[in-house]
Amino acid sequence: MAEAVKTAEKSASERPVVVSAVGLTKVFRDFWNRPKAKAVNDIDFEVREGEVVGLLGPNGSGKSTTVKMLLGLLYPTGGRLTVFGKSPRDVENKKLIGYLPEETYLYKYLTAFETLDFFASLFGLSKEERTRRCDQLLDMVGLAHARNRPVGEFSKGMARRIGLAQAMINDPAFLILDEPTSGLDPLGCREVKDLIKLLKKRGKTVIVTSHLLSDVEEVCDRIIVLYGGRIRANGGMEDLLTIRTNDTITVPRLPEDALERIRQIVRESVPDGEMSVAHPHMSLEDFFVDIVNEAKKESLETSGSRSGGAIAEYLTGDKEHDAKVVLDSLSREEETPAQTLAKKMEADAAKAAEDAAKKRQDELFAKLQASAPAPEEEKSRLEQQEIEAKMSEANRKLKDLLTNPTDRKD
Amino acid sequence: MTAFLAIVKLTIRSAVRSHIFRLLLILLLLSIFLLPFTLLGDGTPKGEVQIFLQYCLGFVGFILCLSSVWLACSEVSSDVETAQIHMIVVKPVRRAVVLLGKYTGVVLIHLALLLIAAVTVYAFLSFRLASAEMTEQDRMMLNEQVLTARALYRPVRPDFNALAQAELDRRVASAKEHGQDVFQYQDDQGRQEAFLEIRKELIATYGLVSEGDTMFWQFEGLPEDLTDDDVVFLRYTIYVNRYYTQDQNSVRGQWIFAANYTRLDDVGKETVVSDQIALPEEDILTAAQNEMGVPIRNSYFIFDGKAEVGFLNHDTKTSELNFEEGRGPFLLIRETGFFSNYCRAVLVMAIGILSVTLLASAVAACMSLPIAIFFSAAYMLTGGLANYLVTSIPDVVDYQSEYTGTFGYRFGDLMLNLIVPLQDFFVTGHLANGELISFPFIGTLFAKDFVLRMLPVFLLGAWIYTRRELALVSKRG
Repeated sequence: MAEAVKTAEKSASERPVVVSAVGLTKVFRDFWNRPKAKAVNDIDFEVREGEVVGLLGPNGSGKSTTVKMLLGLLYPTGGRLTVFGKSPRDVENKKLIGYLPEETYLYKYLTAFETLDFFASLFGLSKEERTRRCDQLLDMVGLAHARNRPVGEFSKGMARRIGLAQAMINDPAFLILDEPTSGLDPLGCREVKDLIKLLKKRGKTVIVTSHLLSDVEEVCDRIIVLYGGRIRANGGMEDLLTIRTNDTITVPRLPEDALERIRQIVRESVPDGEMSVAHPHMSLEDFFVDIVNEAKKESLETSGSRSGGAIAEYLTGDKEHDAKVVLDSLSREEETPAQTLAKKMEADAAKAAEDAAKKRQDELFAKLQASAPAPEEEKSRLEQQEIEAKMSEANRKLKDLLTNPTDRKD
Repeated sequence: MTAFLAIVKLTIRSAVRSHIFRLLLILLLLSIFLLPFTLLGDGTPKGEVQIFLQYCLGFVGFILCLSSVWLACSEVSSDVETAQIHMIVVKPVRRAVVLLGKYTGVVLIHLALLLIAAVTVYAFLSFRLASAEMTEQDRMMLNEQVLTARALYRPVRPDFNALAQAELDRRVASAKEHGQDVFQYQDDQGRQEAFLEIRKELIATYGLVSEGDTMFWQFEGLPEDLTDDDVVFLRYTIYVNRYYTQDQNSVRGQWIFAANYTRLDDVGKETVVSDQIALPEEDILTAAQNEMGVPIRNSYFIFDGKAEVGFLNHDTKTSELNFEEGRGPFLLIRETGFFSNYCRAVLVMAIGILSVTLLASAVAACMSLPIAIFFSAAYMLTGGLANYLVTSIPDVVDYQSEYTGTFGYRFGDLMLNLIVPLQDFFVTGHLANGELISFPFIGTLFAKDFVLRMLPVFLLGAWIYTRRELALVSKRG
């Protein structure tokens, strides 16, 4: 089984190329056709099927220009750019593409359902299929209750969710998400990231541009960093971010004597090296999500978007459903039998690994419970104060975040 | 097709929910229900109905044309400027389909409004006619001269070249006969100059009738199957001297009608007898459109598809009377009913809406909203100005005269060959005068204005639209 996973991983570099840019250049010109700015300057990159690629860079680095060229909204001044082997302006190609723009440009007079129905119509879907997908997507993005409200009345976050839903309406093989978490609350951010992970599992290709590096880090396999229209870094997340000179060991909380023994071993192995021992932090996002989930259990109502429901059935691919059949037939056309087999083996391997990890975790937890002393006895007064300070800091940040969620972007 | 229909539906929704469109709708309703009460005709039921038809329906057409220009520009252009188009063109739909869908949406909603307005105006007119109190004579005049559809026949134009040549030959012969010097006619250039001068004089004096003189007009191509119950109308306008309104008053004159009939001669053979029947002298109001039924039997008046009408000037107060060619005399013969003519007028207005929307969509496909509206308005105004420059030139435009060489005339003529004057689509004047709006006229209008002049502009606009870098334009993107 492990070999099968390796085979599947190896084949990743041999998967079909979805996006290919060679010497891609874009020069903006003024009214007199004089060059004004070189937004993209001779860049080369490839995105292969099933990859989740993050396009990073500060403002004006050429991210949006690159994305707009991928979508055929801007035309390259030089170089060659293909999407699925064809020109980005090819209309048929666009059946395979989903796009969430940085700002969601919606028709304010349409309701949420009408908006999705309109975009679904552009793909030539039947009325029944459109209705089914729209309802499922509205449920997925947590706007089922606002189905018949004009999107002009929506908050930025709600509009963003609709934007995300419209990008998914055709179950695209290639998704371009421009700042997908911008304007979303932490819960929405988490849902978007979960969605991207799900899409990755289903073999979809995704390009994400974001200023929120933590988001990119969490979901992307690979990042391309742009600056001044040029690529400054391009590689796998693991390759680029791993600090190979340090090691981190994460274990359940250890008794003091065990910790001391470990310290001793480390000092012996690396006499001059710096060593620190600390409790791992939970991310603010995880903390927030836990609180909201608690609130949901207590049935607290909100007038805005609610946390998303289940992933739209036609997007999940793990239940026998009409929509799934349609989409599976689409994906079958894209996959070779070898790819399908590799994916199945990968999924089996992942499931086996997950089961094994869960089993190990249960065993460790049982052991720990048996050996660890009562927590009240262990905690010193200092530790109590530290925890309280952290909680207070976390609450303050959370309050700031809820007051002005868009600040996160900056 | 689903995508196309979705865009059409979106455009209609957008229109219905926009504030400016609602404002135009209110104006439309006001023009139907309030405008008729603000206008006064000549005090007769006929005049009142004519004013109602001409202005009320004309205003409806004008509002709808404006509205379609505004909406087409707004729908096509603002989508690009607000970057909403980005969400559409990244889907598998051709840009030409997007443009065509928007055009169709704008056209459909305006055609629906035109239909509603036309039905309302017709119902309102019927109601007013049914409830109006008028004499039998007024009602008859209304039915015969307004609520009808009569084909208009113009008199045959004289061959000014032949007349000028004949006059030139006569002058040369006369000069020779009297032993006068004819040196100015000897070389080709001299003869040509004299010929043009005579021709100009003939054109300038065409339609002028001096006191005691009679002028005749010939008509051809008249229907020969008329019964004696059918009424043939004579429409004319007389001016005193030229066109100066301060000279206008009442003059005396007499109409003469040529009558041809066959008679058996002494040996029993049929011979054609030509005769003239003169009406009594009468006072005629000048600078006003007059109409009367031809008072002789049609079988006598129209012979072999031809007829002749003459006018004898008895007025001693003025030097000469003038029949401007564009204002008669004409013969009018009923072809069909008012309802049919009304529908044809609405059809012409519909072609107008189709055309101006085509123009506005094409312009908006390449330009920003204010520039597109400005360009469309300028196009229509230039059309109107060109039409004015050409048709306001005295005499008939297709005769070469001293006016045809002016810059204004040349400019107007050039413009009329390139662009479509909005007036082409306003035929409510014809409707109000009971003139037939014929299908050949409608077909020519459609082919000339819509197909040959507006469609190429639209295709050019669509071509640019499909090649534009849409993300360059966006104010938000």
